[in-house]
Amino acid sequence: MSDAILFVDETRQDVKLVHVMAQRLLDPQQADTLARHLGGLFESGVLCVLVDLGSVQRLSSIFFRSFIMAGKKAGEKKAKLAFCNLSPVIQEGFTITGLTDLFPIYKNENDALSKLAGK
Amino acid sequence: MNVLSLEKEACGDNLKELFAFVEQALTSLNTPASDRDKMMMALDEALTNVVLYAYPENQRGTVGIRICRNDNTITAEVVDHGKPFDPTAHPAPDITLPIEQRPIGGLGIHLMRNLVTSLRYYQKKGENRLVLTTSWEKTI
Repeated sequence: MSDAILFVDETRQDVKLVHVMAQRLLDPQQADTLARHLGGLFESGVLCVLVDLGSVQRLSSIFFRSFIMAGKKAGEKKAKLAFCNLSPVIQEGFTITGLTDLFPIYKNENDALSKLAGK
Repeated sequence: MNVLSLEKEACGDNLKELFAFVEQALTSLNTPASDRDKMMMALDEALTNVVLYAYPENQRGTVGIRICRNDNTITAEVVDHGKPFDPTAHPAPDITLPIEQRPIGGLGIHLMRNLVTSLRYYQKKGENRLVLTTSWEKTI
């Protein structure tokens, strides 16, 4: 239904950076895929995941559910989940749903890495 | 007043076309980008809710969307013939809970309600009608 999600993962300074490449995140099945992907990273022992939403222009609330599921998994594993490069409307969605109180949100990757790396 | 409308069978395979219609309609009505993006996110939610929840699994039904602009207000109406559901009466989630106590779902209606200027639900002739409006300041 939406663009195929393409995750590009890279590790920088002990932070797992997950670039979400799709422009539209609207498909409930893709939301499950994203939740499983992020949860799997924490299950595998990753302690800090930074999700880059810079390519995403349109996002359904179903994905906020994915982020909360991943955040719960991060909490269980004493790990951290953070986000960067949010468009104004997605930032507003995070604010309305209170996700800004649950996760660190950074303006861009460099800002995030400078604060997350080595922690 | 120019009204743009589309009606499709309420199934997952048609969501992409419905979402694309919403974007094209709001753009063609010269909606300011910020208001367009917020209305799109709210309508994505409303349309998805109809497709996922309005009709029983074994029952076919339709979802309609009508969008118009009047001065600096966009009005969008989502119409279905499924089971009555008033999202405006849905209690707001507690968004102050810590992550371990946060319910997984329940954010969509809260999001929709807060992205638009007004949200109204009514029933007419067996139809559920959800009316979303967004307004913006006039620029001189």
